[in-house]
Amino acid sequence: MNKAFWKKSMGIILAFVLAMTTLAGCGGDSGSSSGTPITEEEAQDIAAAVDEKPTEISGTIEVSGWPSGDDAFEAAMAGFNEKYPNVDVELVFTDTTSHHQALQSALVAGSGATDVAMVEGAYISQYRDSVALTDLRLLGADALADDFVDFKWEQAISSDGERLVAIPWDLGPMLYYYRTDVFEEVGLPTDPYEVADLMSTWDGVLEVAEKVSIPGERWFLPSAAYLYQWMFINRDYYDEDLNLIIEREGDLEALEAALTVRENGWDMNVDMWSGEAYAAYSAGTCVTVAAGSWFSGFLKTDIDPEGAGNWGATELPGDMPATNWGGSFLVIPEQSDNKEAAWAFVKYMLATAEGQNDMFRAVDYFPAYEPAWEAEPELYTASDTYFAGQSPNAIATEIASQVPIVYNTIMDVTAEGYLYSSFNAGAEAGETPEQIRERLRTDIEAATAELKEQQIQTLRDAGLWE
Amino acid sequence: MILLKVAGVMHAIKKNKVAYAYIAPFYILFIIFGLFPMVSGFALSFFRWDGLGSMNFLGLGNYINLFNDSLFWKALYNTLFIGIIAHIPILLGGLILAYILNSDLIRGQNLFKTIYFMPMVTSAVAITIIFQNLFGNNYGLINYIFGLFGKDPVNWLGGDGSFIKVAVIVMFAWKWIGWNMVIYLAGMQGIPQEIYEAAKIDGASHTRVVFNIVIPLLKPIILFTLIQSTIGMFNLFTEPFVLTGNNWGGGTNGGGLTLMMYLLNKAPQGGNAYGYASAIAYVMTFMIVCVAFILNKVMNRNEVKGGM
Repeated sequence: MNKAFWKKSMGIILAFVLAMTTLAGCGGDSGSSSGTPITEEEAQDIAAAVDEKPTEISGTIEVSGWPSGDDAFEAAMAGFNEKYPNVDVELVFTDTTSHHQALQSALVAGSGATDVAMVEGAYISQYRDSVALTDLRLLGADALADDFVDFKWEQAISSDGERLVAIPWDLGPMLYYYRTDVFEEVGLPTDPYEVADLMSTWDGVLEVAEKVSIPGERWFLPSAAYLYQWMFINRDYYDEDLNLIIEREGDLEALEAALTVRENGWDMNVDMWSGEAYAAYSAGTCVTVAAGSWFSGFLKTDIDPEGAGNWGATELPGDMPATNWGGSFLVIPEQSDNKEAAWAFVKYMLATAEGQNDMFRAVDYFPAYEPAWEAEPELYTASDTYFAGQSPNAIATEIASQVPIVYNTIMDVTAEGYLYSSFNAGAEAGETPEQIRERLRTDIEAATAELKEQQIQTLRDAGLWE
Repeated sequence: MILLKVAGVMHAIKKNKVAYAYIAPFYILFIIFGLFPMVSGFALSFFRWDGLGSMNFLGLGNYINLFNDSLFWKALYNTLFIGIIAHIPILLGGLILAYILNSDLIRGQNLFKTIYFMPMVTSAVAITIIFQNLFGNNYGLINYIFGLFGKDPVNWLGGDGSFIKVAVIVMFAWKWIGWNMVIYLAGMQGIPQEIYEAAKIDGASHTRVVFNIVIPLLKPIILFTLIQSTIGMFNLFTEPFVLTGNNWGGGTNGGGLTLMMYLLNKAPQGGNAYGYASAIAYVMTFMIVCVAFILNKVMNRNEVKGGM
């Protein structure tokens, strides 16, 4: 009798324990996911607290992203904690790809996202219509609109114009970097304005290319394809009706010049981010390359730390319009349960001159927040010993205010790759500039067909598409 | 009739309830984290969904668009080409290396096992960056050696895109040979020594031993590794992606475009067309199952014929 009783109760206890351990595995997150959007009242309370009662905001928040974002935040953390002493910030950083994958999954799943997350410029179109991100307008972000560079601010607004999901961080005004030592060696000017003048025509560009190149030993560019790609680097591939805009002013001339560079073997015919190209930049065997102004930081810390005095920077050649490459944002997922601290963080880091300039000093991320340029003008006009006394940041500031607004879509990232590979395929096949342009159009349309359908559906959900 | 069957099952469960309680955790977790995602993923492939907005029912739309897309076929061709050609060194190399290590010809077995297995557990991105340098156009080691022999350099990662596959095949084979070798070695060590000795006494050469004794006895193990590397072949993404400079088109003329790259471009990395990506994933699953089925049949048929 006793034995049977114990057996039965053991059975029940066992089943109970098993059930609890199994369910514990899936029920753990219910505490942290409060995915209900904040109300206007709550938002106003948060905004007021952040502005007027900074010392009362407390808690620990997690901020996620990719390097060098962590270096940037660490540099500005002291200033942040002075204003908000009771907020602790944990940095959860990984590589760009993993970070975006994790963020997407967490937003879709409704839990697991950090309180603040970085979003790269290339991917913002995937996030700007997301209802899983807090509408920062409710927190009073509109007051900041005029302080930020227009084209960056527009990228963070949802398709229907109603919500603002992100605050812009930095820009990448396109600069054309060149080796002053090689230019001097072959008798070319090294002053940035003279170089810009000389290379403002394609003939000038080809002249420089010929002078600096030594067949098999020294090259003008990593790839001739970039002469064409820079025209699209602003990622304005589509208009608001999702038509692909392939024609650019002067594109056929650019392609002509690019083909000449390729035929004469003046380019390395490799990707600008490849190991080979990196080795060539520091060795001086790849003489010029163009990138966003964040490339200055790359050169100084990573690519050519010993190269001080050998580099210069000026505008893009070929009379190309001012343009921008990249620039990230910060978002606050609705799941966050400390939106006060999160908004305090975002506002301090990105919308104050001290925050942005501390970060700029550390990692060269050019602020999209215009008051930062005016608050410490020396930072932006000072001559840079690395760049032989030139001031690339001054040029970047000029360019930054001229960049036009663009319309981003989820097809952008895919289209980008084809600018490089379609040119190469066309050049290899001996095509004319018009043929290369048509090839590019066909390739992009074929590759982005399905993504375009998805984009249309997203716009339809937002009520912007018939 | 069904009620009777259900009653019968319930009775069986009741009789063995302790056993069922013990295995329950696995099944509960499997249903939640394994079965549910599998089924909902399949359901998702009939919709268009960006992960956050509305779900738009398309019926077979995704599958139809998929089979009409020339890039899908190119990706399939590339993946199969790379996979099939790479399997020759993977299988033969793995077997031969395992045989050599198993025999008394070499000392330091464990050292070699570790060295050959390393590619499998090293970061794919790190390895690809090194190989990118190896296959570099101007400064690559391979082109340098070509130059020493007076040959023209080859633009492996560019040109018209046809040589990207060569680089990917080399990387894929290099990675999987070690894995196969370790598994075959374990299998060979399971073959009793008497069989080797009997073969030696009969005067069999090493080649005959490998082909007529070792391989037939290793059939199930070879089948296992074949299925593993087939799955690896369908999952091939990091190597071609990094080699072509993070290019979603797979480089010039799509030379390096693989099925997984085509999938990830749609979601979640290159876009958010989750329904379409799901459809691609299930087509790939179907292909893997077919391949496994065919391999199984081929292996077993030979065994019946051989008859020991």
